[in-house]
Amino acid sequence: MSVIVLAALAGACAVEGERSADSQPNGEIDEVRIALGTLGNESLDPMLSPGENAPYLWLMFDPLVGVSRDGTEPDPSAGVLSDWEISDDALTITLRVGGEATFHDGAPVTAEDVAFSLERLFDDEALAANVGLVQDVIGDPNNIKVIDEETVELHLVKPGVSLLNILPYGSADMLVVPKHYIEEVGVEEFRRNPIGSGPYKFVEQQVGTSITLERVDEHQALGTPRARKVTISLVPEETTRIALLQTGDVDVIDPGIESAVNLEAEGYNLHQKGLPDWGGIKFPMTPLDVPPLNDVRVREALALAINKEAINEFLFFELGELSGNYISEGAAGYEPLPPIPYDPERAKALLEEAGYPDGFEIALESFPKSGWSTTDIADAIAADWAAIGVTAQISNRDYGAYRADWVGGNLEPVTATLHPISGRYNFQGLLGALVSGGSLPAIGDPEYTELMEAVQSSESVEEFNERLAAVDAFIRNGFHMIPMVQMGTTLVTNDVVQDWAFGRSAHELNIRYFLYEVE
Amino acid sequence: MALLGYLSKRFLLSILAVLVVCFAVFLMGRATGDPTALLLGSDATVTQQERLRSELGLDRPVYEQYGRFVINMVQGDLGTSIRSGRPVTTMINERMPYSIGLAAVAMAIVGFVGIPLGVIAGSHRGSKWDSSARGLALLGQAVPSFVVGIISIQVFAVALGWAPVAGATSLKHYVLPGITLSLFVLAGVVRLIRSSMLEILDAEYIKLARLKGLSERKVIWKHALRNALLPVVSFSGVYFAILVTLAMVVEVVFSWPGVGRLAFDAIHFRDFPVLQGVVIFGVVLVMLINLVVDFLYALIDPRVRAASDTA
Repeated sequence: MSVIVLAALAGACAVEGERSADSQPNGEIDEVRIALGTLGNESLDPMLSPGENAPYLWLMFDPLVGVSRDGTEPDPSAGVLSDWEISDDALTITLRVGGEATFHDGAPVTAEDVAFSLERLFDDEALAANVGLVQDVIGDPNNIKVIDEETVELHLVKPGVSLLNILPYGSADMLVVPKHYIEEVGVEEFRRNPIGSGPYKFVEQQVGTSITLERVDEHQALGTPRARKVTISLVPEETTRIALLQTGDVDVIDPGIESAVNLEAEGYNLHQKGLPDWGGIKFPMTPLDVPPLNDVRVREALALAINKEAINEFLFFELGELSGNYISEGAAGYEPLPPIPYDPERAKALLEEAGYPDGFEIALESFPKSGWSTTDIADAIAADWAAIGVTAQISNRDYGAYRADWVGGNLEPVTATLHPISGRYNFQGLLGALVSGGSLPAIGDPEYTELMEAVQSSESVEEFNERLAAVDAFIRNGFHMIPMVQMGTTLVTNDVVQDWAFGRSAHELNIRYFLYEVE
Repeated sequence: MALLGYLSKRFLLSILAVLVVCFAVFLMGRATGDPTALLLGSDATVTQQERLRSELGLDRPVYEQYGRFVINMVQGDLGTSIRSGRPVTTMINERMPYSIGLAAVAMAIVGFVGIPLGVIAGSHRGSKWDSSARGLALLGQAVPSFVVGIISIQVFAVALGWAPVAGATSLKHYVLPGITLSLFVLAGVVRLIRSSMLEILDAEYIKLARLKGLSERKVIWKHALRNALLPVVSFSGVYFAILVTLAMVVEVVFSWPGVGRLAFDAIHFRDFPVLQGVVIFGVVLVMLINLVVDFLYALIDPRVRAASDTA
């Protein structure tokens, strides 16, 4: 009987496995199915959304400022704002609404909606990624003024060039929500059945499983999307996502680096994000006034001892690029700096000069980053340091536990951390750590403080970028951190998705531009 | 009357167990670190972090937090998810049907496959059936469920195309995760039934049945099995509760939207209210099932009633 039952079960499992999408590039597509390892907290409200929610939110809502098709430049025609400017003293930002955008219920997007969307970021519930920066620079929701149907003025409490920078590259925080709809149905209903002005309308959400969206007939900036439906599924296990791609059940996945390379070898398409993530060493117990890390020669020795090329070759499969910068290529303030070379002999000489001929012990912390084999990278670094006499005690744990100790000052005094950072967090992390009283320990060097204060008081975008580049150079030349590799997030697709520029925002996948890729 | 007293005592002890477990989870969750650090971006200000902690009640003394939690729990309010802002009860209710459905499929496999296999192994000691059953039992208990899950996906879904990879949208999606989930309990049931059968088949009444000319089939499947099933039946309720609440690994591998996945995310993001809610749900489920089993036992087995009368 049990054999019969098994046979019946097997017989019930006719698997379709056929792609529902037309594989012709640039043609109409019935459905694009995307499987990701995380969908953040799955909130449908931009205000409550961390960066990981961006893939679906940026389809449902429009940003204040859109980006070009390859995601590298702001594009006034692709967002809600047609124009924006900052006053000479950088204390007033004027935003002008384009007037073309409409919400999914037909109502036009106006200055009231823009102001309302920004005011919400002052709510106690707000969790969006740039909330801290917005609150710090604008100061009070009353400083957001609607001048007329198309114009909003932001009266800032601090120079706001940094705010200009995140307008096109923010995560969920820079998305525009419908004031009239939220006031009419209430915020809870909005969070269950949201409407936006984006190229896709919300259809259905199965919490913990998937979100389904369908296209609008015509989007004011982007025209008619070529995929009728988009389903974004939450599949936490990487091997399962890969299996779904291999059976044709999904079209897009985000695997780890090694898996991505293997899938490319099998004939799938590998894509990398334009704004790379940063991989390097941080010295978290700042200020760096505890021996031996207080000696720049020691920090330089640790930097020179790491064979970054080998790490990029064997652990990043040459998908990364060696870099001397903390700020990611393509981000504000980026001016290329030469990578720190590999020179273990010079490293040993520096240690001897600094009074550590026999080396010393150091704690090496690492925590998981999706797609990266951080334990292997930590092992490689420890082995390189061992070659110059520095003994690293490796501790691999999850980020939450590590961060609690870091913020609480409970790490070992002599600690290095393998600290991958999403490309978005570069200057914002530096700012948050110091200027806005952020929760991360600041670097603590008076010269660094002065440089960051100069960044914050910048009165023009050019000045802002120049001063940020100076901070980057200070970090690299003083070895306050050790930049190693920059690598864009990898996505793998089947032939439904062939050409795809992921853009620059750390979490947003620029799906809207894949969906409009027509010649 | 004595039976009522017995059950009342069991009920009160169960309540105490729930409170103790909840307190343990409450403390352990908070020992893992501050969830606001993960909720807010790395550029969050200290003021923001303090405000969020205050809003979530995390700035209160631990005993006050726990007291508030217990009072709310008694009223059926398991709190609000720190991460999503949704009521924990709602989140669990959304996921529970999936977990119960999967556990039911797993138990069905245990019943339809494990029991017959155990009977055949016990009644054919030393045969290839016995060896196979014992081998399966060993594998079922030794091989981690995530390994079974991943391999079954690769073999049966990707290579052979016999089953879907993941998801929970149709009946066929229950097959691979159901089989994977069932294996550990199935292994235990096979061994239990087998050893019970070995003992029972040596009993005097079985010898008498054979002497009376009953067919071997009847002796095994009608007389011996009935008694061999007793320990399995008494554990089946607990097995079911375990399958519902401990399917975390299987649910993650197969992307199953059940309570186990909810717990997995809650642990990862330090979402204390959700984690506490899932644990309470599991403990209460086990408690209720145990109470029902105890009640049934007391009804069915006169020895239990006699023992409670004496007590």
